[in-house]
Amino acid sequence: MDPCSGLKTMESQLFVSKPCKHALNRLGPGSLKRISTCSITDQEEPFVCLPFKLKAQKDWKSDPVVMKNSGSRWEPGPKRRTLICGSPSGRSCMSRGHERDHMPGDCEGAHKPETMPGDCERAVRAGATARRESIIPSVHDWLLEDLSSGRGTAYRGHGARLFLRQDANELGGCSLHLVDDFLCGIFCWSLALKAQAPLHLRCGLESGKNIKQFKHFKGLVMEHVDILLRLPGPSLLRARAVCKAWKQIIDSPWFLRRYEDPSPCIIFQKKRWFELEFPSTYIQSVSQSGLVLVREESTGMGISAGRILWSLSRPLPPFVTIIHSIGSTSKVALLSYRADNGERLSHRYLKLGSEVLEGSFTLFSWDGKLYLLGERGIHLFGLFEAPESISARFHVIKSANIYNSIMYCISLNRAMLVTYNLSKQDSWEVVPLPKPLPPYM
Amino acid sequence: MVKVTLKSAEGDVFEVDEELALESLMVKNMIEDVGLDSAISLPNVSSTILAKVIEYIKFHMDAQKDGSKKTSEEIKAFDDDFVNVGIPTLFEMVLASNYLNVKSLLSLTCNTVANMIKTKPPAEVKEMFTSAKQAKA
Repeated sequence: MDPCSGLKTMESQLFVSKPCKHALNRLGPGSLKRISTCSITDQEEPFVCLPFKLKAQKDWKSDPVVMKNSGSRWEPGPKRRTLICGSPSGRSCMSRGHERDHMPGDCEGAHKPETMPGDCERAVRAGATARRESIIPSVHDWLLEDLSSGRGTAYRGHGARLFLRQDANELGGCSLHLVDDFLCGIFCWSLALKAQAPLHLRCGLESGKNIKQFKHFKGLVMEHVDILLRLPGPSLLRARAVCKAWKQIIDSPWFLRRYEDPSPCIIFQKKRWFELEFPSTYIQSVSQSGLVLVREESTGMGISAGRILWSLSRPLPPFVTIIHSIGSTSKVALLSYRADNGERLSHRYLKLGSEVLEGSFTLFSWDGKLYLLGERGIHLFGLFEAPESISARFHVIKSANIYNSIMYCISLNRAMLVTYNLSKQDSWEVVPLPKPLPPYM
Repeated sequence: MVKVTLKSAEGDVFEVDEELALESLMVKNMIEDVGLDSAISLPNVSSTILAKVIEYIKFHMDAQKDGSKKTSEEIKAFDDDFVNVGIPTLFEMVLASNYLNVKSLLSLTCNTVANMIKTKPPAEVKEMFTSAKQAKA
């Protein structure tokens, strides 16, 4: 099956076990029977991931247990699965369902890792056979660009199964992980932020209050910034070509935080822009700083990274650490988790276009529609054509996915996997879990 | 009415009402620091530009006062006419309004420039800015 066609119809999530450090720490021996993650991939049956032990954050001991539900029986999960666990403190662990037969060489060229933590190294060794596709360089550029914001950001692919994570670790470096499960490969590299003078400079800009402090913007007249801030998006993109100082200032996070454009459009690194409502765009992932990863159907597999010029980052307070993003054919939704000192606060909000919805949601998309699952209100409401009468009978939903019109939800505190058929009314069904549960590793 | 003395780059002296002068945050800060006794020197603003800025502030203060009969169309017509000057003058006004920190005027002039360069190709924009710079020098 052509992988691209799967992208069009399915917006499934990469199998990401998303427990952060704190969630993992909370999973003591008493929580053995809980499900960690439910996830569905293209052309696969749904499966669950059971909790796994993570002794120290960087000490990756064992692979998570993946169980696949085939009818009434539970079997070991599909092979060649990539599991990713990232902690907000800057460590990411990767593992795979099994080792590949063929052991590849290192990543080559510009993507060769300079420094690599042990766990990442293993993952890279296991996965680097994948063909290097054209998306890699462009994403690479994008990551470098976004590094300048100086924040760790998680990216999650939908459909393209692209997972990216970057975290500022205590060494002052950032590790970037690009997982391309689509190609059965993992690319992983890290680079020290301090070693990259331009990036470092940009970080300085990020925190600076007055742009005049920066000799970097030589030849820039402050009054020009006032003018540039009033340009519409397409003209702004053109203005990047006027001189270097303008380009630098327009590309800087400092500028984008202040820029507001009434007509949201995506501005690309490569001199292009288009409206957000552009029908042939598909937003893969949205980062906290407003970068979007867009797949263009018109050019086949073309994946580009760009910025949405309605200042996504502006309403987000600085201590937002995670943003969950989801896109559909016409909308982009963002869910932000406010976290303070690693402790999650319950407050979240969603930005959909220019609307901001406050509340607590799980959001996911399927078949071009966005769904919101209210955690508090225990009800599902869809932003697009969701059935109205959905009401859940369980409390806290840990994760939800839709596959083949059936929504799979995990209720964390009850260790239940619950399904709901979106095309039928009141078709809630509890899927039996494997018994006995595999031992907690 | 307390008067404030403003001194332009050429050394021309402008006497304006304090209320009017306070519209400029920069002058306001200066008054707070130095007081009203001495003339406030504005070495970055030429006489012609300063006169225009004062004219602008005066008009808008009158328009905002109670009992003003000016309609929004009239204000808009004034604004349009006000910025309908040569590019070098317009740029100088941007600089002056930024220097004097007059928010409304800065917004007006910047929007005008932005509208001008909106549809222009980069080369022309560059040309425009370079010639404005040379005209100033």
